[in-house]
Amino acid sequence: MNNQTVTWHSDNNSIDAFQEGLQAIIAQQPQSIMILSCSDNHYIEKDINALLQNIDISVCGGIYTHVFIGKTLLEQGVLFVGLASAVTKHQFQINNDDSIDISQLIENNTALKKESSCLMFYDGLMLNTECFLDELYSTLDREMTVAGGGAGHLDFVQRPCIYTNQGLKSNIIQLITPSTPLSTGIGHGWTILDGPFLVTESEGAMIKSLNYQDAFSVYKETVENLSHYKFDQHEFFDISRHFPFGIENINGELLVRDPIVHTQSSIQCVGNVANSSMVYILKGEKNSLITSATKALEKAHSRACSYSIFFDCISRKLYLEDDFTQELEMLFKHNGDQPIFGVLSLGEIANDQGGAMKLLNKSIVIGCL
Amino acid sequence: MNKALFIVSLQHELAMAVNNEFDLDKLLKHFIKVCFTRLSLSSAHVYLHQNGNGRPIVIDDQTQFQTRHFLSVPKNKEGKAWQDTTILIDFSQKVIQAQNDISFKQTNGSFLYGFDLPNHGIIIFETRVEFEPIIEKALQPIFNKLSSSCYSNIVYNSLLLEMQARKEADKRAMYEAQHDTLTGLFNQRHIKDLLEQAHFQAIEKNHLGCLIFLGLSRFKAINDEMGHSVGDKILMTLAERLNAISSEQLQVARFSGDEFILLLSCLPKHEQKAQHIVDETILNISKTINLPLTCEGSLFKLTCSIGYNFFPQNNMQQKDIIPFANIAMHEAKRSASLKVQRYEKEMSDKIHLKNAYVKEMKQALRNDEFCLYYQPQYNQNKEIIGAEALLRWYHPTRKMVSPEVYIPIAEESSLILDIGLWVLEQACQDLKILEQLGLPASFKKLSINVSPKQLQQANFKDLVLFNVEKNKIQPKHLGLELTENLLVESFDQSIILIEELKKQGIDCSIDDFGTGYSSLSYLRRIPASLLKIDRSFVINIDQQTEGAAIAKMIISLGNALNMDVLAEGVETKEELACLVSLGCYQYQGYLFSRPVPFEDFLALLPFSATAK
Repeated sequence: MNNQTVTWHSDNNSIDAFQEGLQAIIAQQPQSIMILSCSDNHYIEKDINALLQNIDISVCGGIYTHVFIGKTLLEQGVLFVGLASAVTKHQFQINNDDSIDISQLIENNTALKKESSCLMFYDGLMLNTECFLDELYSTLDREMTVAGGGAGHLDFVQRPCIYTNQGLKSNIIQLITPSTPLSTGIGHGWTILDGPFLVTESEGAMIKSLNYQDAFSVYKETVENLSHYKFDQHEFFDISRHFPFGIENINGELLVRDPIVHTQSSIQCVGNVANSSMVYILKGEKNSLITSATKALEKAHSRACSYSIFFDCISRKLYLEDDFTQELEMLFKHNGDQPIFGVLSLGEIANDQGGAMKLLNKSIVIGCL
Repeated sequence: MNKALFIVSLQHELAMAVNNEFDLDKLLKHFIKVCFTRLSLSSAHVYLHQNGNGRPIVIDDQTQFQTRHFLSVPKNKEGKAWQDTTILIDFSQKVIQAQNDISFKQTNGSFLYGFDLPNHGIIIFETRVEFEPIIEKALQPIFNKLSSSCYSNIVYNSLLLEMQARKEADKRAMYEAQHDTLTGLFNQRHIKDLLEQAHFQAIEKNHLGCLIFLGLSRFKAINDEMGHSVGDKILMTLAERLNAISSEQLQVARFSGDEFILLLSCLPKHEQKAQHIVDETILNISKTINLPLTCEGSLFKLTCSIGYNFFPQNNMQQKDIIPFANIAMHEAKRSASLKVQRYEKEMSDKIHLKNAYVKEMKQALRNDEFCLYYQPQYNQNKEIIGAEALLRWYHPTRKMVSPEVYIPIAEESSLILDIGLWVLEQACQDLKILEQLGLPASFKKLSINVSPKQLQQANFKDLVLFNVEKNKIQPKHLGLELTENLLVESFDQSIILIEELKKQGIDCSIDDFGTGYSSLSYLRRIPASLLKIDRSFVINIDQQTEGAAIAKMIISLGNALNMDVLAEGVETKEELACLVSLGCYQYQGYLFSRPVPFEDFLALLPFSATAK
């Protein structure tokens, strides 16, 4: 294999196609293999595990709702990426309890501590992701540039979704440290619909009250007043995917939080919303979203690279619907000749303006290597 | 409006992050985490007033403190701890000195902001976007609140530390009160308490207990020859082994130096069954002790004597359980064959008899019932060359008591020291008389026997020299007889003593030679001038080839080491003839003279002085 990154993809959802692709990519003698497959494949876990355990080079990647290569969007099937340069993989199994000292796990990983770039594949439905990111940032020897996205299924039922040499795993974070530096670009394109609102009570990802009133009542009233949507006529998520929250930071940047379900008074988001933080209700516009993706690509391309990988939030596709292909076409158009591929993710990971690693929602993170 | 709400929201959020966490590290880390999200920080650093031990403190006018780095998030910058980077060292010093909020733009475009944490230190934020002045101002009340929280936290933790220290000290004191410092086993005091409880329980619940008393054999020799540090290490190893076989039912204690107690409780009432368990336990203990052990490159194999005692028993009080087991252990120690002895009442009777003897001997010393007999020693020309002083006790009722009865008893108690001193004083006084009478030229020395305990006395040399000086006798006329076993037990110490006395003119002889187990290498190093062949080899030497062979070997040895050789217990002419033929020319025995009172001994000597 020369120094090129090679890919093989198929929209066939069978295990045979998986096996065929795997053999084809191994025949190219890559240093390691990235596997990005669609959640609608219905692979039998046991069969996949048997194939993975027979691979004698490093395997990474995950199962995502959608995978794309170039401007082709795969709703079923698999993409294999044979990486020409060596990558190092660091895996952290983190169960949904407090039994693991994340800080100590990272502290003990001296090789990882020295790294300055990484791609992050992780179980998008695991808890403790933000805690892991805080500890990672706090413990590393130097600032690390990160691009990543949460794997998993859109029905929000947790299943094994990360490809490892030991088989498919859940509750796992996989950090892939490449031999070349990573440059990233981030965008979301969401703009302010109304606000600000003071989060007067919250717990983790649950917003309980806004401006000292029930969070759901405030949200419902605002959205219904400023749009044609009525909550008694639509499912909550069908409306909320158009109107996420934005937490404003000191630099005026908005950290998007996706509202996914509600109770009588509270709203559950993907990602934490701090007590006393100031939030806006955001709105989406097709052009703004697509433009933000192109800008993110431009920023990521600030240095020469051999391939680009995208972590694009599934909710952007749900919002843009048929127009989502335009986002892909724009990205493909601006990308140039090198391979471009990516996934639709449940949560995205990138550095904020200060350098800290953050869990994002409804955003696109582009990494160029 | 939005700006005002933003400031309010910022202040609220950060103020809420200053929680009531009792761990200062956690409190600050949580606060900083929220600051990172809200203020888009790149790094944050806290410096606190700390005491000499690096513990954050609350300061007052008198408190000595230094403002030192406490934490950084992230911990490192380019592979180096943040607090060791020049930029942070320089900036933190500036902030500490300024005692005010200051900011600094770095060459990489990022900003450092230093804030005062009133009365507690400083906090530094690194950002990539400049703070507006209104933000800096808005943060100050937050740091005041954080400072108050630090105060409560430090005071709370100081109290907590103090309580913990007190608790630890109590725990340590309790431990030390119950445990032996060297081995960590229970100590004598605690095992007595445990025994009291076990004894009470045994009566209460109608079962048996057993106290096992264990004494190491010849452990003193290890201490003397290898040093106490080796001895201590061996004891610690043994303690570990004994501890390993201990259980709730079998508790182990160090009783004293090389003695241990094992308390076995909750044994069946049925004595045969209990005996079976005790036998198995003792077997296990013996195996444990007998396992070879290595210490400082040397291999040791220890043995022990064990005495044990069941409880409760009629006519035995709880306070007697340990002493009785100890008696049984000593009985086992004396026994050549049985190294384990169960306590029997006869043992105590024997002890009582011994105690009575000791009492009587003390009385005898006071009443002047002891006297010295002298058995002359001859050369082949039948000239008296010296004499051995022998102790005799003329008891008012028992009449003449054999030394074989009372000397071992005196040896077991410290009474032997008093008796030994009396012998030394008396012999020196007698020697003074002999010298005054004008000793014949053939007469070399008057010898006294020295016991092991005397030799170990720190002032033994001084006592000897004092009596020589006091009586103004010639040191060369006084001789000390030591047994070879005595020398082996504390060899190095004995050699030094003998050499020192020799320098003063007082010679030593080795008594009962051939009966002990001194090796040739030992013998070569002993600066003695005379070897005495034990009487057991001399009896019937003319008829027994074995005795003759041993005597011949001793004579050759003496010649090779340039030592005189004297045969003890010469009773017949045939024995004498045989000794002469073997090359032995100094004798002591009934053939020449029995031990005689001093007055009779005087009569045997051809004095030169007119004052006879």
